[in-house]
Amino acid sequence: MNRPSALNTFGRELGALALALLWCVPFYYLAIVSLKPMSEIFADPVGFPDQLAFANYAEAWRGTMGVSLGQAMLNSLIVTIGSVVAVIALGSASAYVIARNGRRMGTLLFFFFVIGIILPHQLSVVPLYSVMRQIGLVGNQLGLIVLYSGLMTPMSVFLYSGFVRTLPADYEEAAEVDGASRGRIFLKVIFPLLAPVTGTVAVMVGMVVWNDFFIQLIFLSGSPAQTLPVAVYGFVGEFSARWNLVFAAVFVSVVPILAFYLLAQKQLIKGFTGGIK
Amino acid sequence: MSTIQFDGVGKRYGNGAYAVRDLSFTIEDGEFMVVVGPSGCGKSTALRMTAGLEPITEGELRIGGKVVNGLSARDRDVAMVFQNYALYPHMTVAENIAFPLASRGASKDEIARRVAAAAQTLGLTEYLDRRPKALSGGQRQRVAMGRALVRDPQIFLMDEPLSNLDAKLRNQMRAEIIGLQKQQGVTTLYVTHDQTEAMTMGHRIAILRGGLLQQVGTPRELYEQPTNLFVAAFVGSPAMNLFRAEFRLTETGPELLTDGAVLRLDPGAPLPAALRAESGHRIVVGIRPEHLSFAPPGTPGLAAEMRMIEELPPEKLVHMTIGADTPMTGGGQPVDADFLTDLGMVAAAHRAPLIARLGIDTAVPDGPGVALHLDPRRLHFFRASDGAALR
Ligand SMILES: Nc1ncnc2c1ncn2[C@@H]1O[C@H](COP(=O)(O)OP(=O)(O)O)[C@@H](O)[C@H]1O
Ligand SMILES: [Mg+2]
Repeated sequence: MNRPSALNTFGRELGALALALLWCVPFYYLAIVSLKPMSEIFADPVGFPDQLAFANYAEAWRGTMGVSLGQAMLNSLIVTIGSVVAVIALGSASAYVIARNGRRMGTLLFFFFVIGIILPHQLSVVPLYSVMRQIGLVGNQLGLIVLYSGLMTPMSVFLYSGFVRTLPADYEEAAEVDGASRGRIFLKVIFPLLAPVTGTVAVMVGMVVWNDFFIQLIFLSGSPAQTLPVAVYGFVGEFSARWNLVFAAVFVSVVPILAFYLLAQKQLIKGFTGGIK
Repeated sequence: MSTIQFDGVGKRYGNGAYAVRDLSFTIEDGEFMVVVGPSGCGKSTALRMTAGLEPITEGELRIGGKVVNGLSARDRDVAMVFQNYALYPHMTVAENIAFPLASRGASKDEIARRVAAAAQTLGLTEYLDRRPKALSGGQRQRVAMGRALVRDPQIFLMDEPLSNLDAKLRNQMRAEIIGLQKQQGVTTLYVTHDQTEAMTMGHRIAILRGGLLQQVGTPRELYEQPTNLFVAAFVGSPAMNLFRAEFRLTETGPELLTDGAVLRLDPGAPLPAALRAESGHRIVVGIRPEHLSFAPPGTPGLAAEMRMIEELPPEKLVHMTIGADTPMTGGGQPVDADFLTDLGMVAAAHRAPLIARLGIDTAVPDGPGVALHLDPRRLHFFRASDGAALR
């Protein structure tokens, strides 16, 4: 084993930095375009703007369809957090039951959920829409939370049940002898042990829901519950797109994600790299 | 009153195999009962049936006189220490110990008071805020004990709780567990595969083999009056010397016939009645290492060949062989065929190994040929066909 020399390390870090810079290029465009006046966008898309049009941000913030960008962001947050919580609650509890139940029933339920992963949900959009409309779940946040929970729970069951199977039964048995009820065993003993999967599921579901456009457009457009992606899309008209406003809105909508990553950086890295010890 | 009564208790798995069969014995109130036996003999199964973690398929189990077959683990009021402790990794020591109390809805004050008391008893006070990961093996063991004794259960159950500790710590924890059990006076069922641990810890010991109970008794009873070959060979270290011989009642007195050699027993020696009925048959003879001595010059003895001497102050172990079959190698029907494999013994062909345990200063005659004296009152006799003691 020979240790890498200092020069070697320096070179490698330089390469890594260059690569990281590459990722920053889109952000540069985002910032630049969001500050250009409308007239300059097609004349000189990549150059630095002659004058900074901060008014773009004010206008973008006013939003579309009578829903401000702030409200849209709040809607997105509600839908995302609601879906994440619901998927974690449903997924972990179902997976526990599946993994700890008799072989036949467990396998049956497991495949039921696997089918849920395999079927493309786009196929069912039309009937879903009409049913959800009838029961009043179109145009509000609850509807989307219900929808996303249904879409994402199978995947989380898949992840959770694989992990539960690796947990030794000792903890549960110890808790049972200690007099804990089934519910208490799950909440106090099992669920905390599932933390690594819970982290993965939270990030996965959070990312999908926050970024999804298709479902949100269909179920929310034109309603006061519209989310960020739908709101941003509002700047794209049938005949003209106000790209500077789109970019400004996108820039604003990136902020919460960035804040989240900065705050949770440590936990995220731990969650992705380590299991339980 | 919390006695534990096994009444024909059995565990049969789906594939028809029995892990435990027809188990019947009673553990008295406050007694420390050790269940011991080789690996896979059903000890853990018996313990888990008592805890309520394994359904009982046959017989009745009574705790404090009440049948508990249908009672779940959480309703049996037992406490259990697992082999790997099963401490909740995400909880601190204090939370681990408090868990059984909190599960049963104890008040905050009571929990705090009891956890503090248990930690005090076990010397864990300064570790209460740590996670199990940050504890040594001995400390984890103590936390597991704390979780068990914090709520005054009716019964303690322990499944090989010391097997993950090093030898020194094991001895120390052994003494601590004995002390705690005595102090708390809780009926205890303790499982181990280590006969030394069983002999030193148990008020009484139950020996299991292949899911069947072999004998229940005090350490002394098991040592001095084993009911069969298995118990005789399992209890004691070094193990009892065993060899095959033909037993004959002649006019000059009883004799044991090994390969070519004849050992005359004192005509007046008190021999068990069952043995007299075996006259003319091959039996298995046993004698404990400490009951072997060298025959004084001029007196008849059993010819033996010296192999080596192991000095282990304050005693020494003299290894010899005699011209006799081991219980394994004798012709005819095999003696209780697989008990030697169960015990991991190796049988040398037609030469039975013997070990004498002597004081370190005892003079050993120059070998290789020596003559051994066997005190007939110290001999154990077993029927060859099934290994039952002839008494
Ligand atoms: N689920 C099961 N199905 C069939 N046999 C089993 C099962 N669990 C344990 N056994 C058998 O039961 C016997 C007793 O096991 P156990 O009580 O764990 O032994 P011990 O604790 O004495 O080592 C073993 O021979 C084991 O193979
Ligand atoms: Mg075991």
